Amino acid sequence: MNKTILIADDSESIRQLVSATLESSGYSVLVSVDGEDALTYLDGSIIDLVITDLNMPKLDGIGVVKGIREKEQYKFIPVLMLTTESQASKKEAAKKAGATGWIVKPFVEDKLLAVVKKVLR
Amino acid sequence: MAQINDKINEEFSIAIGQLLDGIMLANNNIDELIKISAEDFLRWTSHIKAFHKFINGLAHDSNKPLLNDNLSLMVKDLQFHDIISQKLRHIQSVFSTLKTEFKQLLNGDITIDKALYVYAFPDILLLDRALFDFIIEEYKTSTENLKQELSNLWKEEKIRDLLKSEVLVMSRKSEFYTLAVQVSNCLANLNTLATPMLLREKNILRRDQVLDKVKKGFTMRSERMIYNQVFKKGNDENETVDIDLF
Repeated sequence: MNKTILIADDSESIRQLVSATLESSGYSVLVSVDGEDALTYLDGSIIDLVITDLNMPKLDGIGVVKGIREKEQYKFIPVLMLTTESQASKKEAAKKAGATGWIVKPFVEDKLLAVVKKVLR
Repeated sequence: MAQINDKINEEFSIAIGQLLDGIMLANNNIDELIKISAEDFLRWTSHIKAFHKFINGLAHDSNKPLLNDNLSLMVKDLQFHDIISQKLRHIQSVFSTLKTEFKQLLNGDITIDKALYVYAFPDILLLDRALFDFIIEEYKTSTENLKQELSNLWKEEKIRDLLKSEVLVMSRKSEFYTLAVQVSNCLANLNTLATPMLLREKNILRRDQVLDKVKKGFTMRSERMIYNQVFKKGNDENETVDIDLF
């Protein structure tokens, strides 16, 4: 069965580019436009991985990670941060909140797919 | 003495009013720049799924790896839409704070000794111009790369069929450059206007506080790099690597 990946990003172009990259490798993709929207998908649906932006309106990526870790069903799913932010302090905050990994934009397709494959193993 | 003070106050109000107008003009032009770049970049982003589908469907002939590499480069270059928009919004965010403070000064809600951002205004303009030059360069590089990458795809007959209604250019590129030059000139004019007034009003401590806040608003390595270059600071040590699994 295809793995399902939830994307959270307020940028339309990034949502489209990440979706296209993942779908071309056979993943099913769910798309959310901000952090709050992302958490509405945690309703019992099967989600194997979340890829979230850091700076988003309504709820940021750290809030998304915390929200995911609070739900029993999703407590251990991998969460990757995909962000333009490159400050180590922000990365540490994400790590502390329970994120699995950190990818700085612009992403390279092959590298993103390699990380996705690795965390879904 | 009272007359001299009145004259200084009047001159100050006029200068603040002019600066406020200039900031608003630059802000509006930046809004337009964000819209223009979005239109061009999103037009091509919307085709990426179809390009992937087409390339995935190809037999493993000699062209497939090349087309895949080309598409991968395109995906990277298209992300500069988001990066450029974010950088422009960071410039706007500082303008927005400046606007609020200038309005407060103009309305007499605060006096100059209570102001903060006004003391860093020439430095902010200097930084913004450097950021702006960098943004224009990023736009130029990414759009030129995209043009080349699209031309490579265009060699495939099925891609041409897929894109028959599209023109192979970033159609609003010249508008972007024209407007970008206008914003850059506007920032230069603001600097000329602001300098005589602000030479009188110096507060190094507040200036440094403001610049520190401005830097904290930057999310990208390249923004902090430009900041460090403009203000002759050393490189930041706490930058992260591009991919890290915890």
